[in-house]
Amino acid sequence: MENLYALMDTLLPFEVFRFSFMKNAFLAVLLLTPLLGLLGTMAVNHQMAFFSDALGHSAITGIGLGILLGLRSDLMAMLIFGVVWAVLICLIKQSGSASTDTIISVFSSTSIAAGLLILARGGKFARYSSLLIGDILAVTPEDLLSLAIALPLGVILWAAMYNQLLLTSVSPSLARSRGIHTRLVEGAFVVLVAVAVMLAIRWVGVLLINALLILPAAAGRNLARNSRQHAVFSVLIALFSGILGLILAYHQDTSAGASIVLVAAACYALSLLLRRWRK
Amino acid sequence: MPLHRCALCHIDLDQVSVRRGGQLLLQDVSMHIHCGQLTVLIGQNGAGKTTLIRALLGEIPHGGAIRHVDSAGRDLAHLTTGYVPQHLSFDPEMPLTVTDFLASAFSRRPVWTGIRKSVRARVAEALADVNAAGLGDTPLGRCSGGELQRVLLALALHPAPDLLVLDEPVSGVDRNGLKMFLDTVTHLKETRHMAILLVSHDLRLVREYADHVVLLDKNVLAQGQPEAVFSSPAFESVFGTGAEKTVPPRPDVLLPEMLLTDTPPAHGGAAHVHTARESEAPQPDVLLPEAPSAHGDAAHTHAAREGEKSRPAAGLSRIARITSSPRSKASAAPAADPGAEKEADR
Repeated sequence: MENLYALMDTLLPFEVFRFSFMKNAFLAVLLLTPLLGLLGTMAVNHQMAFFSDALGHSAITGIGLGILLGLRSDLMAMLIFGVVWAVLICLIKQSGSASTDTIISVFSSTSIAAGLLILARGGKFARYSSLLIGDILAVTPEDLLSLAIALPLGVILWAAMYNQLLLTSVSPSLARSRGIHTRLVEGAFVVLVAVAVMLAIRWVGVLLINALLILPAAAGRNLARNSRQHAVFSVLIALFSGILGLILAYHQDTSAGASIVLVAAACYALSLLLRRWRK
Repeated sequence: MPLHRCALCHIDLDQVSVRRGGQLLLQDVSMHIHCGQLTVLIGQNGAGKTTLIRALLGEIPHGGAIRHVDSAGRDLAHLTTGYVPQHLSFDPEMPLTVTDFLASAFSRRPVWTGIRKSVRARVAEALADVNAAGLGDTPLGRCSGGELQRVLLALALHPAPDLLVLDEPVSGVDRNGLKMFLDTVTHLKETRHMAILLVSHDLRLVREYADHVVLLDKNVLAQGQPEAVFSSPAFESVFGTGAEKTVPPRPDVLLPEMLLTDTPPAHGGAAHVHTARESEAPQPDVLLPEAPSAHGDAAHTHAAREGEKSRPAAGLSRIARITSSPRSKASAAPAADPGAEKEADR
């Protein structure tokens, strides 16, 4: 890690990266935002923005259940519950028993209520309030290691399922006629999104995680003409928002997560203008 | 229902039934979808057309059997099905070009990482095959209804299917677009000899293009050649009295009628073609499930073969059939034997 810090000092000789917590935050941004940018492209195209929002909310319940069950790691509790929650939403959505937004809304509000019920017992919710806004400046070298493993794994899985998921998003029945197991592919995608969201939520916060997943992809979509451009623009905008947001937060002494999301929102606004101008 | 056998392979649906939530959606549907033929499913909304397609595609559980068999009824290799859905459920603003879309099915490499030259070439070839060359860089959401249908057809043809299932859109494609699509389908039928099942709502085009029509309302009410089905009592009961007369007969079957008014043919196959005028007479080649047959299966088999003879030669393109001289067509029609030609094709 020391070697990496020394390399960063050489390559990025700026005041903002003088502190190791800023170096860690910068590395976390480099590892997290590309994955969220990539997954966001399909979340946006698949009209799943609300779904990933509900997943973010489920983190509260995950931690609450983790405490009740005596799990040591909050991350593990969030991951397990997030994956189970995502699969449940997916299964009920596929059963076609109600409209997708209704199902997601039910799950979203249920998970917030259940999480609050558990975490607010005895007036102790303040202890967990950091979960709502996140703190990317608290990233440790151990966290970076887990992110460094998650990023390539996530990208490999994403690459393996992308074409099948693309065909499924265009027409499930067409995809099935071509031998694609659409339920499995959709299930694998929601699990991947759940894992990425849970990995990022401690740094970005429940309230903002969805914006980081959706905004870069939505902005990229305004600029892109094909799938490749969509992925490239989305990843670049996610990286740009992450780095600029972090630097702005340092200089303004404010929340890094909020700054990152606001930069992404500005990128989205700009992309809308560019899109109109191009038309 | 008795069914005639051709000398070729076919998809054999034997008493296919679908039940869902206590409701019977399809009951004992028996039919053959022959290779080298355009079989068209017609019926009112809710008649079970889409359910039958879903059963064929293996999307829903069904009773009875669906088999891909040769002329002797022996099972053939796994049935490869190409499918053109009625509509797509995608977001039209999605940044997805036609090439992206087809490449995602033709290659395992994720299209966001780029598309290999060889895959691009395959996509271009597939599009050219369905008269859609030049659409490669068009966003899928910007394609017109007709263009989208041809793009979906290009996809359905790779890998080459034994059975091509086409669910015609109810809206979004004008008649010219549909005609162009059906011309392409007809060309494919004649050059690639695949079995084609089309669900259509445009009875006029059905009459013009179909080789075999199946009238469905939970079960098969009538099946046979278009003229026969259109003039059957079952057709009238489903679409209303006089409905048949609102649908102009296909151009090629007008020919004998025209000849009757000028110089009636002394004999030959043309006389077997059912025209609108003949529709009031009993139709021997309409296969009515409930109609008792004094001669049993043999009578139906004979009737179906008689019907085969009346059809112009397979292998001629539909455009050629419509635009060629009526007299030359009339003299060619009786001599044509599609069964023999198909045998030769094999």
